[in-house]
Formats: sequence, structure tokens, C-alpha cells
Amino acid sequence: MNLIEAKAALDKVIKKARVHLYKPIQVAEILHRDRIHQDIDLSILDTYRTKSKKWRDIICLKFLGRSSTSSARYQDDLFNKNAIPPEALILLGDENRKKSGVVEAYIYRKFITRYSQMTAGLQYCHEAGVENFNLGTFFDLFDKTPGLKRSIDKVFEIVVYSLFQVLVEELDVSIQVSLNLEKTEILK
Amino acid sequence: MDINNTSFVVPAKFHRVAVTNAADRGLDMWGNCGFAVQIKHLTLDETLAEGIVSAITADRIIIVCKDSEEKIILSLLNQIGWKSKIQSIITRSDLEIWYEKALRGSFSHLLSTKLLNILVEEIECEFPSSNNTDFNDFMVERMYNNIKDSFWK
Repeated sequence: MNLIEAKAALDKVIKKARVHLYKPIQVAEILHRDRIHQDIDLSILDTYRTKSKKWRDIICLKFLGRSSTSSARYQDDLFNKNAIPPEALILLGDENRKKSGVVEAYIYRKFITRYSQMTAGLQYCHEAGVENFNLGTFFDLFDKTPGLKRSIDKVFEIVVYSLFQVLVEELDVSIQVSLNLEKTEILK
Repeated sequence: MDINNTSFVVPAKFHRVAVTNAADRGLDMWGNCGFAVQIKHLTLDETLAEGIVSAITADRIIIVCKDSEEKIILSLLNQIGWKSKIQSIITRSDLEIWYEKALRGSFSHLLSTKLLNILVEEIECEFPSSNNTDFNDFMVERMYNNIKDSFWK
């Protein structure tokens, strides 16, 4: 593997990531740790496999207000051969140290871009208002932006939830739970 | 509930489960009146459909899908004999019509503002646009802003 291939592997993980970019942030934090603290060995996965989730979560909690809730297996996919294995991290780490954090900066810039795309959806809600908001146009914003397409299921969820929620609230829907009075003997 | 309190009434509530990932087969939403919702933005094939439907013990399932997938899904469900378990299929067009009705229909004065407010709140909660100043401070503190490199642009 060479640096171009390692960068391609990183780009693939960024492209595949949903809007929160948990996995790319984990890579950035591994590289940051390697560059600043120098207390891990990029060729030995066990020196950072588990700890890097904590470093990632510190950033995610600070800027996203949440951390990844995916299964441990899904999170560990990051280091698979077809994602970013240690041999790719070694190359990215060398480049990152040589150029004062260039790979970290690259990942965080991608993160900013992804987030500003997300803001477009929010902005549309505010600008269109109740007079002009069109759900088709709203869906299209996500469907037609490559970086957001992977989060379209979340958008569907939000759209369905909002409608149900407003109807349940406005209709004062209530639930009655009762037991058969003829069977209260069972409780005695 | 006990022998002296044989019934009670509570307001119906609809909840979103804390953030899950597409890779999970987890629950996305549930209501205290006995329904559960899973959103799957997947292209269904026979195996996947059977896997999802058989993993759900509920007998009344509602599927939300793209218009173009409705026919395929129906035919798949027929093939695997699960059609009787499906209460209905809601397409993207249905959602668009319902939103139109809520936002500009006869009762829009009751629904429209609330609907859009909930939508905005949920987007902000799902995709919190972190405080830009904080993030800029972070970029400066780590000196990322000074880095320029043609290979990593």
C-alpha cells in the first residue's frame, strides 16, 4: 500500500460515513494521539483499538452532543482490510507527523463541509415556513446531495415522527387500560 | 392497577428511540398505544424482506417506502406469504400529501406551525449543528487552519 492508496481508503470511509462522521473522527483522533502524545504504535492495533473510541467520543460529545451507539462489531469494522487497516494508518501517520497534522485537518474540514450541507435542510425549513414548505423539495435536498444521501433514513424517520407526533398531540389521543371486572378475583 | 383501580387513562405518546445506526436492526420509534416503527432505507430483496418481517413478532406491520418500490415490495411480500401481516404501505407521495394537508389544509391553523417546529427540533437534535465558534476555536487551537497542502485539499 502507498500513500495514495491510504488516502483513497480514508476517502472511501468518509464517503460512506453518515453525517456524523464518527469513524473518520476516530481516525483523526488516532493520528492526533500518535502525533502529539506518541504513546501508541500504529502498527499494533491493540494499542489504540479500544482507547481510540474514547478519544473519538470526547470530540463527538463536545461538537455533536452525542457519541456512537453502534455495535462494537460495527465500530471495529473501521480497522478491517477493506476500510483503514493498521498498514494504512502507518502511512497516514507518517504523512500526518511530517506535515503537522495535515490528515487530521483534512478530516475535520470534510466534517465541516458535511455539516454545512446538513444546515441547508434546516435553513429550508426556516426560509420556506408553513406557507411554502414542500416535503418533496425537502426530501430532494437530501436525496440529491451525495454526502447526505446516507442519512435519508433518518430524515424519513424525522418526517414520519413529526407528523405522528403533531396529530397525536392535537387530537388529544388517549389510551385506556382496563381489566375485566369479573376477573378481579385473580388479584385477591 | 389493582383491585381498587381497575382502569386508567393516559395520553397517547409517540417516542423516538435514542439514535441508532442503519446497521442496527433496532427499533426507531414506538407509541404507548402499542405500535412500533422501524425505518429501513434499504432496497428490499426477498431475503432481506423475509428477515425483517420475520424478526418482528407484531402482526400488523406498516411499511414506509418510495413510490417506485411499492409494487416490488408488494410482490415480494406475496411471494414469501407475508402479505397478510402488512397492514398498509405508505409511500413517499402519501407523506407528501399528508404534509400538504397538515400545512395548508382546512386545519392548518392547528397543525402547520407545530408540525414544522417539531420537524426543526428533530433535525437539530439529530444533526446538532455544533456551535461554530467552538469548532473554529478547536481548529485554531490545533493549528489546522494554517495547514495548506495540495494533496490534502
